[in-house]
Amino acid sequence: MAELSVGESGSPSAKSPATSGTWRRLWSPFAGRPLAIASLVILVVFVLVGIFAPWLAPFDPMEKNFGPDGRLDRLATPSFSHLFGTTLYARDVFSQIIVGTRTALIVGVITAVAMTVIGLNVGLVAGYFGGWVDSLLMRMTDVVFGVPILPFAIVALSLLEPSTWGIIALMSALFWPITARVVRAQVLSLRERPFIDAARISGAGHMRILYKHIAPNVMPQAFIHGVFGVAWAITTEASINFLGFGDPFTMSWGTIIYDVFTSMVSYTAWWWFLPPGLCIILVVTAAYFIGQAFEEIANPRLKAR
Amino acid sequence: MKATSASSAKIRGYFLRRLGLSLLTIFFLASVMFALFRLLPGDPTMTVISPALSPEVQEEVKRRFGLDQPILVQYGDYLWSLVTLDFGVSFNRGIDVTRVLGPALANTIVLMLPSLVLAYVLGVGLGALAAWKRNSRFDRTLTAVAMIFRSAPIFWICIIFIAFFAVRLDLFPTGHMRTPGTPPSSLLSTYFSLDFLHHLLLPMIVMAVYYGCYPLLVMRTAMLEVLGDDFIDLSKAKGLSERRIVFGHALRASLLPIATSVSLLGAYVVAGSVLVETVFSWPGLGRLMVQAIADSDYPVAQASFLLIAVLVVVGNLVSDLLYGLLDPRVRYG
Amino acid sequence: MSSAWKGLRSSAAAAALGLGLALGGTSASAEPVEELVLLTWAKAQFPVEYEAAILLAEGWSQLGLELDIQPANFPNPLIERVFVKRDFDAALINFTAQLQRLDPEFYTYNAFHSDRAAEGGWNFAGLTDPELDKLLEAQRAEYDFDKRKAMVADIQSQLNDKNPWLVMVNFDELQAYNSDNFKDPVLPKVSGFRDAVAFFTLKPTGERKVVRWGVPMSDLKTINPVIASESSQVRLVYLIYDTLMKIGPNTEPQLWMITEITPIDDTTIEVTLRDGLTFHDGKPVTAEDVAFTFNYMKEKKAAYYTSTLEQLERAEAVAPNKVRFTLAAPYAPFTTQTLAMVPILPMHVWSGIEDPSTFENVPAVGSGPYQFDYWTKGREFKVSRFADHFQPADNDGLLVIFFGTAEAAYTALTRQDIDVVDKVLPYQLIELEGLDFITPVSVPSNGSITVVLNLRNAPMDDPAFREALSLATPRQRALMELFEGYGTLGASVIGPANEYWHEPGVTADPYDIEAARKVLEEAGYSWSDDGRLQLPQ
Repeated sequence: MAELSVGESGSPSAKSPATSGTWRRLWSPFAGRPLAIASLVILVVFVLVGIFAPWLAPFDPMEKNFGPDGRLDRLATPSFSHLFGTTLYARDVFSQIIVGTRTALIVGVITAVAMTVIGLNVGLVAGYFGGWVDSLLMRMTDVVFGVPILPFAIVALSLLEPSTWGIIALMSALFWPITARVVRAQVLSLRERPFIDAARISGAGHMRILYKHIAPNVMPQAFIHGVFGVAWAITTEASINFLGFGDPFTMSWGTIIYDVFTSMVSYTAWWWFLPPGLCIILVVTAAYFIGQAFEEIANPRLKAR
Repeated sequence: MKATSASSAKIRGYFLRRLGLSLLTIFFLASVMFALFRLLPGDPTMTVISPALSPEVQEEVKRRFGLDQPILVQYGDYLWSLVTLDFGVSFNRGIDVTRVLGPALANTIVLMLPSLVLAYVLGVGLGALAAWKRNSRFDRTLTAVAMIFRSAPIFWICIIFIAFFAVRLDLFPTGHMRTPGTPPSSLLSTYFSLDFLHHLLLPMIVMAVYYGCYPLLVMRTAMLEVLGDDFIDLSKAKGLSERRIVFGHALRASLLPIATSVSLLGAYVVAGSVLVETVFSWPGLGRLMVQAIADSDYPVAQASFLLIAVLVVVGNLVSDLLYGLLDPRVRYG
Repeated sequence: MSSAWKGLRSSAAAAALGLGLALGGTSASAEPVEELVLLTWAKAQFPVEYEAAILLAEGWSQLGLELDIQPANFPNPLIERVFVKRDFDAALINFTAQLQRLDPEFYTYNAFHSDRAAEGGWNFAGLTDPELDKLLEAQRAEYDFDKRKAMVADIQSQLNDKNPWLVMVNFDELQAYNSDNFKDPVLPKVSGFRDAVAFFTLKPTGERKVVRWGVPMSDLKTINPVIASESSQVRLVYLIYDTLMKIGPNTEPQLWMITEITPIDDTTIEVTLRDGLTFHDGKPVTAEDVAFTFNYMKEKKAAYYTSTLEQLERAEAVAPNKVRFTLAAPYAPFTTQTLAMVPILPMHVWSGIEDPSTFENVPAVGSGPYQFDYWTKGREFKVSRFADHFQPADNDGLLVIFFGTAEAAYTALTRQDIDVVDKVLPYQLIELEGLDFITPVSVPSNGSITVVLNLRNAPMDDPAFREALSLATPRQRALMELFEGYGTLGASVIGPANEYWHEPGVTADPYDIEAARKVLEEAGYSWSDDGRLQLPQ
């Protein structure tokens, strides 16, 4: 989605580098917005569950559960002992969801950080130096931007060893162009600003100007796309796993849906099929709302009137 | 706005640059594919022939697929074969890859195109309505539903639709393109039959609803932006009715982001065909690619990936060009 | 973050493997047994194999072993790792149920002769035993059934002692058909609907005359018998092409296209063709066609038939209806296996095909009970009744529908959209029993889930170690948890479903960790303080 609105965002605030009131500035997107606050709560819960997953899961997610007759308690509907029922091999779905939360957290956060670091630096350097550096970096950006992410990822993963790190690396390598474009656009206008000239005159080097004076001003935009990146990463990882190209030993929401599908019960075992999808929706929607709230602060024209 | 000869030359330059860039992207992807397929663990010819075969036969197969040549020669041959659209012979089927790709491509297009059209009809209409009734309960509900929908994984939504509309209510088939037992016929008569339509409907509805969220939100945002712009206020001052203003100026002005999003979304839809077609057993390009990868039929996997990539790149190119044509602010820099 | 990540993986893996052991801390001088690579199938392709690997690791880890479960994609890289590089310590193999594997040749000589241990051979385990080799050679040269049976029984007992393979479960084939639409199929023992005859003999009960069979494949790869290499493709070949012999429903070899087999001497066999055989294009089937087929298959190294044709020197037509086969050495399976496997091709179609690997073979012309009708790629494959066959089909034809996923095929069966599914999961079979229009089928099969040990690597070369592994293999749990009890505990390499050749004296090892540990202890193995198994000093 954000790909589609990239062209419109990007009018940087005219203020000079941030100095004070950081907390107030961070809170401002949420002030008076119940949806954004709800999203924040969801994300905080998501992060906490992810961190404390091993202590929260009532069962080992791979442990098989047996009924009183000594047989596997397979495909059990939700009950008090198994909140989300059990899988085909009688594993506790609720525990799988909890452990999958940690995977989603790791995948989302690391991909977002990696794409932001790459995109931010490419955008900064391209926008600041201009000329052939800009041309080269932006053509590179354009090329990577044109890669169809999901098909490319499954071809690459099928040929390499399937691993969650591989998925994270691939997504990071493909997501950064969006950040790079937005950052560059802002840097282009920032570098003409008086305070940059002032810094230059006072003898600051390129590095200092780039990272001390310009970077703080483009951080909000990079951050917003990082938040969107969390959402894209979680959805993309789930899609890759659904097609069976992920690491079978990692428990993630995508692999849970894939398990239901390959167990041939996705049309019937709703207790197993619905929770992972709903979790994805919750977290991804929350990330979108928060990203949007920040975007509206950075670019007031987008605010709904 | 003003089309002087200087600016038309600029436009031509812009077009050429964009085209060059698209070719570069395809070249880049083709090269990455070449490298990946040569890096892969195991011997690709293992899947073509029974491993129980003698070494001479294995050598023969390698020769047939050109795998005995030096790597640079292979690379050159590979690029040339792409230019000439010669993707070689399928490892598994023993026939030309192009003969496998052709029908799959057609099947993908007949699913994707109507879905995309419907997505835009729904999305643009509802998006305009939402913007018109901004901040009403209708607007808020619709926006929230759209936001939630686009956050869901498409394959998950597809399965829910199948479970409910096909399995539970028995309104549609659970998948496939035709009722089994329909003798083969020409593509055209296949596509223009009621039976085909019946099979097309459910995946088309799912995709229209799912992908329709994008134009809906784009349309709504664009309209809101235009509604707040000064020139709307100016027109109002001239005494036109509010309705006319909206459907005159605002709609026309919102056309830009919508038009440019069409091909971009189209590219996205094609890339997502690997998921939708897998769930619906739709014999298209996406499913072909996933299956070819699983079967280790590398010529088919490679060619279907490149075809998907070309479609995506063309989508992006068209979007760029439209943007350049429609937006007077673009400086062709 | 990275340590948290590791924590997740190792905790899940450790729990999966039932490893209650702490890591680190080495004992004085004894060397620990290195981590064993347990090769299995990708979860997407064979979820049951994948689950079996987890179960197996749970059992083996009780001996203080560390295991690295490696799921691999079939065909690449799995085939290469198993057949060529032999890159595994233990591999879980799913042997599919097939009538052609009823002759002991496949599970004895083919799987354990030292000849076959070389690159590309089926002796995955790498067993090389000169004494056993002699016995393996003797049985395939023995034309007397009773004498051969005694030898095969001896081979099975020997293999049971040596444990190169640990058969986990001989599973039942679980299938289902719509008995409102069709009735009374002949369901061959050991394979049921995996054999073409089951389809030929489905009798219509009403309006519906064409059987609809749903398969989870997303397409047939080829209908060219010379390049088909997997049993899933070859099965469709047999709908259209006939063979000289046939394995009957009670696993007995039957004369089919021929009326007589005349052994001339140990290496020369003559067969007499039935009268009035015709190909689907109306041309008669002659001795020339038969001789051509065997020579052509041999010359072109047809993937699926290479090993069964190994002993054939040449085939020649000696009369319009008589073919003489000359073998390089006496080969008992030639009549019971080879003649029942090789599909007869029309010479007038194939004689001009220099390179069969690029021949599509559409429409396929054979002489079987069904003739090729059409194949719409990625959707369906249709064959219809060939009225001129000497034993024509009981229905008007068969429609093979490619569903792409097993769930879609299963759902179609329950919605009465199709008539036959030839592979359902155990819990689905229980579900299907509740539908009155469905007849569930479970036939004891000659397929199995087997752990192949790689004797090329230490310590799998140690018979005591292998015996301990066998005792630590949870066969009963596998049978119950993976197959809901539809099958038998694995023991002999020739399963009990193959009644004639199976040696009943070979019984399954119990799951007995204590006994396994004792075997290891007596062989000089020891355990470190943290419970890790150590090699003998």
